[in-house]
Amino acid sequence: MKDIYILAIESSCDETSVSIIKNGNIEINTVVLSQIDIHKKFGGVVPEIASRNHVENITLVIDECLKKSNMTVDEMDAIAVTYGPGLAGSLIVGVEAAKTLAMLYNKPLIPVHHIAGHIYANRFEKELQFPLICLVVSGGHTEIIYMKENYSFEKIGGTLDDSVGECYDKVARVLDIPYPGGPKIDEYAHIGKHSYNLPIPLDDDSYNFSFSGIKSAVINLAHNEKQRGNDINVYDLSASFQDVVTEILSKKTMRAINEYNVKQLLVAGGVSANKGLREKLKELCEKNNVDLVVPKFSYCTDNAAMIGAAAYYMYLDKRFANLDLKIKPTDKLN
Amino acid sequence: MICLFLDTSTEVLRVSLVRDGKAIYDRQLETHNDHSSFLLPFVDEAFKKNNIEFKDLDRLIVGVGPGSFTGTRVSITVAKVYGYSMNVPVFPISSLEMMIYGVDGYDYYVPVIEDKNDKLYFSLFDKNKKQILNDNYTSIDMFYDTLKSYNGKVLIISHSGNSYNEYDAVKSSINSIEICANIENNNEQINPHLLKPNYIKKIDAEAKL
Repeated sequence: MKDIYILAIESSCDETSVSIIKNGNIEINTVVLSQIDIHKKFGGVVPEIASRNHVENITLVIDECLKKSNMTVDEMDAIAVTYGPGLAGSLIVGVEAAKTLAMLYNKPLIPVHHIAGHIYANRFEKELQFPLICLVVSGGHTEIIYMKENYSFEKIGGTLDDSVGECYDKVARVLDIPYPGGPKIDEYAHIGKHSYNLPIPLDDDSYNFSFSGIKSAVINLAHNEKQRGNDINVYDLSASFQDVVTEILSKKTMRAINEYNVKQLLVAGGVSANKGLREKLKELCEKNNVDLVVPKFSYCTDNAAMIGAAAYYMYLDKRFANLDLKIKPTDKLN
Repeated sequence: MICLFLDTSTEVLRVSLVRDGKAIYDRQLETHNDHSSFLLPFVDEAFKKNNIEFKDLDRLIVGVGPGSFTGTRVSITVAKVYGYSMNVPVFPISSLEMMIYGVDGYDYYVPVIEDKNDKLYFSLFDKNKKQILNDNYTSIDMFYDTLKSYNGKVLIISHSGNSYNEYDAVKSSINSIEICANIENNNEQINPHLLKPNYIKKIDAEAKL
C-alpha cells in the first residue's frame, strides 16, 4: 500500500505545533512552539495572549516543519487539525491555517478531536489491542474511556467537577508553588512522604471522579496549620496529595479493566507525564498482567504529532471536513 | 492584475476578487460571529467560478483592524498562509483606511470606528487620501480637540453614519475596487510571516502587569 503522509496542526491552548506523520505512527518531524514562558508571569494561560502568539507564529512553525522534513505540502495526502475542545481564539488560528492549506493544495481536510489525539499518541509506542481502556488525565479532562475498536470512544466515567490537572494547579497555587504547578508537585512528592491525613476522593462503586473535595481539604489543612503557626512541609503535603489522587485514579481504572475484561490500558493527556501515576499504574498492571501503554514525555503535552496519528484512521475512513469546518471549543469525544 | 481583498475585522465579512479594475466576485455577509465558516468557502468560490488558479493571484490585501480581535485573526491567518505558501505579495490595510474610498471632494477624511464608553478609533487622511495621522484610540473629547487643528472641509466616515457636531458625516461603504487600486498610497507589501493584526488596544492582563 502507498505511504500516507499527513500534515497536522494543533493550536488548542498555548502550544503552536505542526507535524508530518507517515502511516499514522511514524513521525517525520514535529515542531512545537510553547508559550509557557510568556504565560508564566500571569500565573496561567491568558487566552487572548495565546491567540496573539498563535497568529504570529503559525506560518513560521509550518515552514520549519516542512523544511526540517524536506517535504512540500504537495506531497501530503491530507491536512489534519484540532477543531476542539480548547480555547476558541487559539483553535481558530490552527483551523483557518489548515483550511487554507487544504483549499490551496486541494487536499482532504481532517478534523481531529484533541482528546482523540492524546489517546492516539500511544500508537507511537505500540499497536493498540482492542478492546482497551484509556485513562484520560489532563488540565481539562479526567475520564475513563472504553474503546471497542478504532475510533469508538465510550465514556464509562469522568470527573463531576474539576479535572485532575486543574486540581493539581489549584493545590499548587495554595502552596505557593510556581506555575505550572502540576509537574512541581510530582517532583516534590518524590522528595516528601505521605504523612498528612487526606480523604480519598469519591471512593465509591462508580467510575466517576470528584476532585473539589480533596482540593478544599488541602486548602483547609494549609490554612489551619498556618493559623496554629505551624510550617507546612510542602514536600510531605505534595506526597500525601499525590498519593490519594493517584490511588483513586488507578483503583477505578483497574476495576474498569477487570469489569470490561480488557488486556491493554492506555494513559493519555498532560497528566500522563506524572511519574507518581505512572509508577502506580505500572505496578498494578504488572501484577494483573495488563499491557500498560504510556506516551513518551514529549507526547504528553500538546503536540501535532498525536493529531496526525489520530487523523490516519479518519483518512482511511474518508472522514473529511469541508471548508466551512467550525471550531468546537467544548466538543465531547464520541 | 488579479487582486483578492479579505476583511473579517467587523461584523461584516468581505471577500472581493478584482481583475483589472473590475470586481469579478464580491460577497459581504453579516455572519454573527462566525466568519470562519464563510471566509474560505467564499474565497474558494471566487476562484473556481472565475476559473482562476490560486497561484495566479497577483496580490492579496487583508484588513488588519482595529476591530474584533478574533475576527481579524481569521482573515489574517488565511492571508499569511496564502502569501507564504503561494508566494503571493500581501498588503495590509487598516479597517479605518478601508472606509475612505467611497467618497470625494473634501480636504480631510476622518474614518471613525465607535467603541464603548464614548471612545473611538480614528485616523486622518488628506485630500489625496494620504494618511497624515496614525490609527489611534481615544476619547470623543480628545477626538474633537484633534480635529480643531485641521482647517478645511472635513468629512467624518463611520459604520453607524452618526452625526458629529458641525462636521459633515456619512455612513461608510467599503469599495474593494478603489482599495485594490490605491493600496500602495499608504501601505507597503509585508512578509507574510510578519503580518499580524493591529490591535491598538492592550490586553487587560498585560495592562495590569
